[in-house]
Amino acid sequence: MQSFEENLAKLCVLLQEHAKGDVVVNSDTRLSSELGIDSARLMEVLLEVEDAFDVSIPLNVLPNVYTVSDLCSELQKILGARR
Amino acid sequence: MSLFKKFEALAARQKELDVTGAQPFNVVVERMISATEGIVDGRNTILAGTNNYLGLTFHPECIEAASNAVLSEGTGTTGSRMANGTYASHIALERDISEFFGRRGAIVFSTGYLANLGILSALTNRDDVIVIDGDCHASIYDGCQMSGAEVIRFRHNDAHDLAKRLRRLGERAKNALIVVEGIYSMLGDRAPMKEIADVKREYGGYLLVDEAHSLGVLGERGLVEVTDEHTSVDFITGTFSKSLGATGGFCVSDLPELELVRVSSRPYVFTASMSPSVIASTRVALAVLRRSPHLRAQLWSNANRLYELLSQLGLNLGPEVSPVIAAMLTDADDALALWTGLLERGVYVNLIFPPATPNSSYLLRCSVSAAHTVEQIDQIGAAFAAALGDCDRSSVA
Repeated sequence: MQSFEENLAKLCVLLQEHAKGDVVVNSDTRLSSELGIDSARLMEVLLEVEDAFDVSIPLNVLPNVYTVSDLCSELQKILGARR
Repeated sequence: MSLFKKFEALAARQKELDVTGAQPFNVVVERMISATEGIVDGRNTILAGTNNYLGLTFHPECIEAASNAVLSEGTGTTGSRMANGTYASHIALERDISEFFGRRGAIVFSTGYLANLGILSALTNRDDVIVIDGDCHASIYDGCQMSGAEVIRFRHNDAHDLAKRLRRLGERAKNALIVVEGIYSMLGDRAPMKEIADVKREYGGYLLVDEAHSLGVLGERGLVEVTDEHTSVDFITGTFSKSLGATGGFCVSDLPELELVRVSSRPYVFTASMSPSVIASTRVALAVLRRSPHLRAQLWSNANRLYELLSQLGLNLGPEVSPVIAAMLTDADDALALWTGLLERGVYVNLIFPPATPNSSYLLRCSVSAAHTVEQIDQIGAAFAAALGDCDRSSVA
């Protein structure tokens, strides 16, 4: 299993492709307000994240996901549970 | 922080609308004239956004049945199905619905929204997984949330993506509840039923199909019937508020455990039951639906005609012809201008903004009725053409 830092780096690269303007995506970037995309588009981007990591992120966890780091933490939990 | 701070963005948007004078989300039908016409802003208006697919809201037999029921049983039940709110007519409607779908059991709810809320929240809990199409209706999302189950969505109408999600679940897939719709309410497209059923056959799980927009529209009973996938579908939910012209909702199933939902579903237990007049008109409307295939033929003729008219105007429509015909725009102001232009020309359609819409689009959604005359369909098309002439078309096609 990849480390948190490795997955975070992969996640940042992926999200950077979708970020608008001159946003530089890092662990503290807030998904809903700093990527420059609306909530519907964000949900589409999350589908790509799921495919990139071959996981399904339950909708239930999203209310507690604010930042890229939060999202990575959830991914770690899912990947860890699958081992 | 103020209790109302969360409403600031909505309030700002409402203020913008107030400046334009348009009130797309506060339309008042001042008087109904027929199933397809009403008075809006003092103007005779063709109603092309009502979900009244078979046009039964003014059917004389339905009106007579409802009137008789009011006279004999009163205006409301004033109670829950669990308490004093189960009349003989509720049981009779459940028997009708059960027999109509050829399923062992049926439960009737007070609205279609409550049917999904009640079934999903009762069938699943925090130990379960629900896998839903991303474009499912809000009632399905809300039911999932109420259940506490783990909720996973798959790409709209993508059976391959559904299979991927179930594969990721491993053994848990065998007990997962998959939820799709017969016709999706936003763009009018239908679920790829055979492919979805094939995935279910491969991975296991239970399959629920919401036929809210397809009952009486696709065959008599909806998508499950026309695709002959009865045996692969465990639960069918739906509403009486569209093709049957009333209110209320239902769930049917062959699984005997359905009966247990009655005692475990809060949206069933803690709300007043359908009023006797609504039950009466629904039962008659169901009988009318069954003996009147010509209504469905007229509905599809009208749908084909309007879809063709709007296509010719260069509008970006949903992927297939259906009685739900949605024009997708990319700009809110253009959508509002077009909607206002239509209303000024005596045509009402639904205006729907993100996030309720797929792909962040702004939708002008028409729903066609069998009761629309050919002349009315042509007037709707002409109104679109004229209103488009007044708009910036850059976000339209």
